[in-house]
This record gives sequence, C-alpha cells and structure tokens, in this order.
Amino acid sequence: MELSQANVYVKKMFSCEWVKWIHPGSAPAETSAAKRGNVDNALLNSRHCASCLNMNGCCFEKGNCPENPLHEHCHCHYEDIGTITVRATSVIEKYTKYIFENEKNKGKKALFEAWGFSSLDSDFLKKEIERQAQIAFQCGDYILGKRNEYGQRISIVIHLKRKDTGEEIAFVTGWMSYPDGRIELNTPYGGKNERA
Amino acid sequence: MKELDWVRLIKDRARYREQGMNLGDIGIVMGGERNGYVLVVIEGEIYQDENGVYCTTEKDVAVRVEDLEVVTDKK
Repeated sequence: MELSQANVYVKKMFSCEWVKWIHPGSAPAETSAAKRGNVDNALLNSRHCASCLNMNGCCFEKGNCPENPLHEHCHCHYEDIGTITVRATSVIEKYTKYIFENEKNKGKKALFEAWGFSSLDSDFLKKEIERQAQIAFQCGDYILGKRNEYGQRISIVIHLKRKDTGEEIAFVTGWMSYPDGRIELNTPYGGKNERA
Repeated sequence: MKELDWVRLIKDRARYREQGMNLGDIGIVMGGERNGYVLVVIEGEIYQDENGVYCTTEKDVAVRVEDLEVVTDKK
C-alpha cells in the first residue's frame, strides 16, 4: 500500500463515528445456542422479529446506518460507541467449492479464470479480499444492501490486478453484518454496487 | 443442511415471493443458520455497471430452514 493511500485510510478511519444497533431485552446472537434461544424467544413473544434480533449488536458508521425504526412498533435503537475494531472473516470453501466450482455458479468461475485466477489462488483471494474488506468497512466505505430476516447485507467493492495482464479490476463482494464489528463473507463475488 | 448445499424451496410464502424466490426455486446456502433462517442465493447474470465495476443480478433470500429441502442431484 502506498503511503498516500494509507494516509487517506487513516483520515477516514478517524473521521468515522460508529453506532451499535440495540434490540433491548436480548443478547447479541454470537453462538448457535444463542441463536436458537432467540428463535424460541421470537416464537413465544411475537413482539420480536428475526430481522431485529439479527441486527442486535451490529455496528455501522453513523452516516451509513440502516434507518430506524425498521418497522411499525419496532423498539430497536442505536447507541454511539465511538470506534470499533473490524473483523472481516470468510471461509476458504467459498472459493474452492463455490467460485471455482463448475456447477455451483453461473459464470463466476469463467470470469475469475479470464482474469488469470484459478483454484490455486483461493488462499490469496481469501486473504486479500478479507484485508480490503476490513479496511473498507473500518473506513465506512461500504454500501448498505438488502436487509431481511437474516440480517443486514453489506456490499464492498474489491480491487484486484488481473493476474494475466496486470490491469485493475473491481467487483462487488457481499457481506453480512454480525455483532461488534464483525462482517462475514456471503459471496466473494455478487450483488450490486448500489444501495438497496 | 450446511453452507454451499443446493436447496429447493418447498413452502410458498408471500415474503419469499417479494424477494424473488418462488416455490420450487433452487439456490445455494451461502449463510449458515441464524435465528432460524439461512441465506439462500439464486444465481443471476454478471454485468459491469457504468463505473466498470463487476456486479451480478443474483437474489439473496432469507428462508426458514423448515421451508427448504436439500437437493442432492441438481440435474
């Protein structure tokens, strides 16, 4: 990374103000057991919907936050938290068994191969995409995508150099927000470069 | 049911139709269970937007686990 670019990132990071989405009366679902507990809670208590439960604890840049309330009678709110530490995570199988798998997608394998990448580059792609997404999210450079019962989707544009020509390419990656600044990769390539 | 499994929608709900998923549609699980839902992606077309950024028209839909069946042979 060039020094000038690093300076831009640092300025952006320090200018971001973060908020945490709060769903009162329930703990952020960090584990499967907690998630299952939230399901039972939602079933027993119709005041709680999965969308709100899955937003609980998620962090957003104040100027790029989902609108509150989410729905009629929604009792969620957000709190200022200052700064966060972002963690961008993904699993290698999203590359080895999805992007570079013939049957699983519609043209993505061919596209990555046209750029000069193969399944042997999966580890590089995983690490580089996580690295860029982590910086972008920490800088507030993300696009709010669709929000549904699963949670709030976030799109982040990744820039890579084609392995064959060195020309820069940019593509959209899809992430899901999780509590306390964690974002998890849904798809290494997919979605639109615009707010839903 | 686990991530990257092929799944078929076996229950028709208005909420799924609103998001572009209809009864019998097949997609891929791209997000593990979260509060009773999984994230299912239905593949779309690849295109470049006006800025040259590669995008897709795919749909991602939150589906209740019990409304899906795993497809073992997509063909």
